[in-house]
Formats: sequence, structure tokens, C-alpha cells
Amino acid sequence: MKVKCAALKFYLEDSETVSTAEIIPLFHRWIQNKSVDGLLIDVADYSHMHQGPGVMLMGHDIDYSIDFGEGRPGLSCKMKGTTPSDLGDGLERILKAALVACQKLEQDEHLTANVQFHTGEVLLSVYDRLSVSNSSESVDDVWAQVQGHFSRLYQGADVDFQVAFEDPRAACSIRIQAESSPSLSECVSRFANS
Amino acid sequence: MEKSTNWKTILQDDMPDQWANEIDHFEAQIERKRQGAVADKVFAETRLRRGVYGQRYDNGKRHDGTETRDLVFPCGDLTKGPETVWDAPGMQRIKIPFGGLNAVQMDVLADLAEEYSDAVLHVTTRQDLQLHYVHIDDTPDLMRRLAAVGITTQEACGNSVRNVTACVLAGVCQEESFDVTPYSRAMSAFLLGHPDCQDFGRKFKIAFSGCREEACGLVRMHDLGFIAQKRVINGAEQRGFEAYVGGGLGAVPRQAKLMEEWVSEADILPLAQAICRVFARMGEKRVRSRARIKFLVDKLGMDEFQKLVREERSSMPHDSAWTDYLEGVSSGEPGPLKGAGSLNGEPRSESFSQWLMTNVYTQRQSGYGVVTVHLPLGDLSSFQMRGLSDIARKYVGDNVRTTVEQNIVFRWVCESDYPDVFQALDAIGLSDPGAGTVVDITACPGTDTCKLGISASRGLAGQLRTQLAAKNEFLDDAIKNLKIKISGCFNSCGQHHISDLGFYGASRKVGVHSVPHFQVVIGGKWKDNAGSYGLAVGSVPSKTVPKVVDVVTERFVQERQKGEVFQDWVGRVGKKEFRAMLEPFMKVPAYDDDPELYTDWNDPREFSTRDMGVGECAGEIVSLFSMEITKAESEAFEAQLSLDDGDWKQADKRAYQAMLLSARALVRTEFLDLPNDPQSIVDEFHTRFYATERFFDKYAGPKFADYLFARHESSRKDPDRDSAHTLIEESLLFIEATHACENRLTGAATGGVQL
Repeated sequence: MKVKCAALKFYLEDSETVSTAEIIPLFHRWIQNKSVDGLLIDVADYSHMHQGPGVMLMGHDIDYSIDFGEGRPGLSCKMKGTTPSDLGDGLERILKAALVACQKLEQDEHLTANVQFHTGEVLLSVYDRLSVSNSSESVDDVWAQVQGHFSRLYQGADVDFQVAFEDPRAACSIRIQAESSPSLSECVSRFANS
Repeated sequence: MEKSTNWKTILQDDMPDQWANEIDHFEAQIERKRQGAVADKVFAETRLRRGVYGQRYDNGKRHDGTETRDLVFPCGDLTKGPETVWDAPGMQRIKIPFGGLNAVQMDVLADLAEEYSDAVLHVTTRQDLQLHYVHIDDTPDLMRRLAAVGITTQEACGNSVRNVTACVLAGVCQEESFDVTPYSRAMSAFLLGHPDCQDFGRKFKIAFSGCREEACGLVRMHDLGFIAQKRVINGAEQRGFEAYVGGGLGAVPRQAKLMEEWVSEADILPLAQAICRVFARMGEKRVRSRARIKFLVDKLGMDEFQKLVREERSSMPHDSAWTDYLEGVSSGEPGPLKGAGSLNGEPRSESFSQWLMTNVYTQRQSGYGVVTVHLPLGDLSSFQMRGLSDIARKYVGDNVRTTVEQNIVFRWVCESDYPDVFQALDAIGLSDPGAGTVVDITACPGTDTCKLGISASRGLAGQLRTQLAAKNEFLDDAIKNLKIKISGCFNSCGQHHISDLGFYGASRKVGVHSVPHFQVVIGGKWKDNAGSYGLAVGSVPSKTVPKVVDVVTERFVQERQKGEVFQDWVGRVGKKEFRAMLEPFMKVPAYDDDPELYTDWNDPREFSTRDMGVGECAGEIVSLFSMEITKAESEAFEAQLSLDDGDWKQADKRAYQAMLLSARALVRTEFLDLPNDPQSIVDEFHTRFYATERFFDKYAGPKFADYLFARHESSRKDPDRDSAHTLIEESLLFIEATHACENRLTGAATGGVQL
């Protein structure tokens, strides 16, 4: 399956821990130090929006954001291209990129709060209505394409998936939940050699 | 799995043919630019006229706080304009005539924001919508999806007629003369792509107002503005307008002057056309800072300008489109979805009461109101846009509009539905009160995304909004209704001239460091259709502006006399005293003493103006011939694609069309009113360029012109591959010969056509 745009989101354990005022300089440092995957361009502040994208680190091929969608803050990582590319390959890239970004956030000494991510739940959204609409059929098809990556992430633990949003107008989104929540360092290591 | 095809195929029956063809042309131009066949300036103006705008850092460089670094995009040296990197993200402006939207359009806009942008939609100060961080390769499909729901991006930027704006209360206002909506719609449609509007030196903005006294359509800050009025003529009430011309903000603001006290409804389109023709013919083309129509009006004087326009008007060939639309005016605009009702007397929450007081306007139609959705900084998410479309479907139908205060309104809301609409808005985080009050601050994009931005207008607006909202309930009523508007630079996209307290971005050097500043502008007037323009009285560091606002508003409350409004108080206090109020803030401590002042809002980098680029607001100065011959070249390119697809008939048709477009471009260098039908084009071309031998090539003589005549005279019902191929070759030679002819006539060096 080829798509132009897809995103992953890992949720924070405690939604109160993140301060957008601290995230803005952090993202600027990531640009300076090329800390995460992708060609990084600028930081966009949308913290004034209700349940919006929060603070975004805009890139050419990958965007990162501390996203407040659904009222549940988390780190979102979105791959984007002008021509469709293989969803499985793209997902592997943003899964790795998101895990690395989450790890850097957890370890950043400039953040005053103890930021921690819950790795046992992931939201996958495919933003390409030409290829994929938000239907149960599409969700099954998408899952068939990406299942292997989540098996690798959770190393054989039971993994459940379901339609994330009922609204047929929404992007096709899957909520993936595992019975375990491995540490970020474990998760990162599971994708280290690809 | 659903079958993946492409948007062009899927939507081909949903798009108006002309719009679909224009988008195909644009896509072909993109491909030709990739191949190096289009000059940077021509392509830049081409994309600008499709609303495809540049964005900060699109020169491929960004100062990251320590040094300026190259953004190494995969496209390499490919550019989409002078010093504009192909892969760099850009802004897509989307025209929304008079701000009118329906639920289907809102859903599509939400989809586009998610798929091509950052899932954020931004309402502008001219009722447009903008998407940021868009790749140019995505724009043709983005445009097709809009076209399929009746929205075009054509002429959203560039040297063209921009979005035609109108009062959001038109049709439901208690004060208006009559509903200006159908007139603004007709004006927008009539001038869209109009041949007389393709050779401007700068942009041209039009607005409609239903009354003179309210802010309404802000007519007096527009290039051309119409204020509705009625007159009794021969015993019958008739509709007409006052026409104002020559207004504009920007670095050199001008208030529009009254040009005609009465223009009947049947005459507004031809009047606008005549003004456009005079502007195209006589407006400045080389010095873009003097190219707006306000400078032409200044130069000529209103009497002379008016005389020229009237002469032009009398010489123009009749166009039935001038009045065709009037038949539909009487049938009216969309009315209510639901029957009228009244708000019952049940006790309501404090938050609802506050919202009701500031965000709901009572319509003149009993039982209905206009609900304003207060969008922070004009932004809403794709999720919120879908929520708003749900509200539209349930409560108001096609009665949604964007506003020049960067909000969205629902018109024809039944009063008894107010609590439910409030709850529905609350569920998507858009029930904030304070619409149109001091917390409802207008700001242009500024340094967030604009290449010209000097200071962070959105950052400051966000800060002020937070500060004022936190103490809103304690604010004096005199302060609550102040207008604050902020621009990131002197160009005034945030409309700082017409606010009570305006700010525009500036930079000041302190030692070796730069400090972001804002000029403080006072004395502007929002009402009376942007009744007066304020002036800057002094600049203060960006980070001190919130304190400045506190000091100024507190003093206003202390000193105001009964009934005195802010503008009058400013006039009474005087600019000298006002400046004295600012002076404590104007002294900037040394960098080591307060480094915070050397950064801007929401940006930890030390402030610098090194990321500023060359703006595209002015468009590129490209001749009418260059723009039109480019269309011919694009058509010839499309013909080749049709040939590759095995569609000989289409290939033949397009090659012929390419020759007609080419001939038309040449004829229109001296005959603007050339009718757009093949016979007229061929006849005029023959008379002006063939019979006079001006088109003849030094070596080939009339040969290339004969290609056009031969194809024009033949019917070619079933062209085969060979004949289509030959005609494409001929069309390419004809286009080259046209270029050569235009070069000869304008004195440019040419080597003739290679045979």
C-alpha cells in the first residue's frame, strides 16, 4: 500500500507534565543539533489552540509535534511526501523517529517535569483519502501492512487494534494497544539495526 | 483496499471546465518549470496568481540562533521563483469571496489541511483562508479538490484582483441599506481571470459595505470600495452605491476617496472594469512601491482619474455579464434552516451569558442572530473545522462566513438554539467569549511564516490575548471594546492603522545586538469603514508591549471623560504626551543586563533580521505578453501529453489552441479588447501582423503564420498520430515565431527562429 502521509502518536503518561513554553526552545535545540531524523526547518507554536497540534517541529519529510489532539498530549511524528510511498517502509521510519524523539524528551535535562511516555498505546493515522478512507475495511488493510512492525515493537505481546474515530470524514486512524508497555530504551533497541 | 487513482480523474465531472483547465495548465507549468522551460520570474507570478505563495526560509537558509545554515532540500538547484527553493514549504491562499462557506466546503478544507498542511487552517484579515507548509507539488490536487466544491485559488495572490470582501452581516444587519452579498459575488465572478485584469503593476482589492457608519467592509482602506445606498428615482426606489477609489494600507497608507456619489447597481461591474483598464494602462509597472492604484489617483488627481475612467467606460464593448446576475438578486440569499424562535427564560451559566453578550448579534429578522466563533489568532484545527461544519448542517445550512477579524460567523441561528450552539462550540473548544472585544486581537503571520516579517506579531498577539483574557472580568468597559491589531512589519497586513492600539514590527540596534521592537500606532478608527488611520508615536521593545498596554489602558480609564472613546482621549491627550508615556519603555538595557529583551515572543533565538527575504506580496513584474504566451506554451505541452496518451484528437485540439493563445497574446499587446473566439483572433492576427508582414520571419517569411491559418481553416475531425504530431511541431514553431515577433517589436535582441 502506498500513501503520501501518515502519523504516529505516543501518549504521555501524565498529561500535566508537558510545558509548551519549554518545548519551544527544546525543538529549536533539536534543529541546531540535528537531534532527530529528517531535514528540520522551523518551530511553529500552536499552543493557543484547543486540543491542537501544540508545538510543532516542522520538517521537510517528517514533522514532530507535542500534540494535544483528543485532549491527550503526546508526541506525534508525521511522515509526508509529495508522491506516495510504501506505508510499511514509511511507518518503520517514523516509528523509529518517534521512539528516538520520545527518548530524547524523557532524557532532556532542561525540562522541569518528569516527562514519561506510555509505549503500550499508539495512534496511527493515514492522511491520504485518495488511497485510504476511514472505514473498517481500510483499517483492516492498513493493519495488515503494518502489523509486523508492531509485533517487533512489542516482541510477541498481545496487541489489539481498533478504529480510533467513528467519523467517516476523519483520516483513517487505528488505535494500537499492547498488553505490555516496554521502556523506551527497549523499544529503540528493537529497531536499532534496521 | 479502495482503488487508488488520482484526484484529476475522480473529480473531473465535479469541477467547472474552465477551472479544471486552468489547474491543468498550472500543473503543466510546474512540469515545464522542472524541465527548465519557464523563467523564474514568470513561474513565480504564475504560481502567485494561483495563490501559491512563498514562506519564510524558502531561500534555503535559516539562522538557527548560532549561525545561518543551509537547508539542504532534495530538489538541489531547482527553484520556483527568484531565490525560492522548490522543495521549501510555502503558503496556499484560498479565496473565499465575501467569506461565504458551506458545510461541504468546510469538510474539504479540513481534509486538505491534514493531508497537505499542518492540520491548521488560518483565517486572514481579508476573509481568505490560508494553509501553511504546503509543497508546491501538492498544489494542483489541492486546487482540484477545492474546485470540486466551488472554491478557487485563482488570483489569490500576485498582481491581480484579490478576494472581494464584504460585510459579514450583509442581509441580516439592522443598519444596512440592503444586502451587498449578490453584488460582491457577481464582482468576484466577473473579474476572476478577466482579460482586463491581467496586466496590473500591483494587486487590487475590492470591498463592499452595507452602510457607511460601521466598520463593515472597511471600504475606505481598499483600492475600490462600494457602500450601499438607495435612492428614489422617478418615484421608484433604486439600489446603488457610493464608489470609493485609491485606498490602501501598507507602508504608505491612503484613505479611499469618493469617486462617484451614485453608481446604479447595473453600473458597478462596468465601472470596476473601466477602473481596472485605466489602472492596467496607466498604473506604475516598474517601481512596485509606487504601483498601487492609490499612487495613480494621487498622481492624476481625482478629477482627471474620474474623467479617464468615464471615457474608458464609454468606449468599452458591451458585456451582458454586467447585468445578467441582477435577475438573481431579487431571489435573495440563503435564508434560515430552521423556523424562528426565542431564547426561553431558563437560568443559564455565567459562561453562556458572557458568550451571549459578546458573541451574538441580534439580526433584524426577529428570532435570529449571528453567532461569532472567536478563533484565537485566526487559527482552527481540521478537527474543529469539521465540528463547525456539523454545527452548520444542524443549525444554519449554507450561512457561514469568515470575517476580517479572523473569525467565523454562523448567520441565521435561531435564538432558541443559542444554548445548543454554545454547547456544540464548547465541545470543540471554540466557545470563548470576547468576539470583537479587546481580547479578539488581529495579527498577521509575522515572523512565524512571512518572509517580510520583522517581529513576532502572532507571538505578541497570543501574549496580549492571554494577559487580557485573564483579567477580562475586571477590565473597565471602556477597555473591553478597544481594538488591538498587530502587524509583523510596516506593510500592515494586520491592519494596525485602523485600530485603537496598533503595533507593527521593527528592529533596533543596541550595540552589536538587535532588539525586536514594535511601533505603537494610535488614532486609528475601525468604524466608519476604517474611518481614519493612526500614526506611530514611538517604538518599544517587543517584550515590553504588554506593560505598555497596561499603562496606556489604565491611564485611559483614569482620565477619560464621560462617554469619551479611546480615539478622542488620544486626541485630547496629544501625541507628545502619549509619547512621554512610552518613553520609560523605549530605553533598552544592555544585553548583559536583560538578554530576554533581545529575543522575540516564543522564539529563544537571539533576535536578528537575517531570515528576512524578498516579499512576494507585490508579485513579479511580468508583462501581459509573457503571462499569456506562457499559457500557449503550457497548452502545447499538454498537447504533447495527450499525444503520449494516444489521444490524437485532444492533441490536435490543444496544439491548435496553443497557436490561438499565442496569436492572441501577440494581438493583445496592442488590442486589449480582442474577443476570445478563434475567428476574431485569427482575423485580427491576420490584419495586424500578417497583412503588415510584421510577423514574417527573416528567413521563413510567412511560413509559421500559415500553420495557424491552415489549421484554422481545416476541420480535422479524425486526426491520426502523424497529423497530431505535425501540428504540435507547428504550434511550437508558431510560438517561437510569436516570441521573436514580440522581441522585434519591443526592440529586444533576437536571433530569429532556428529552422
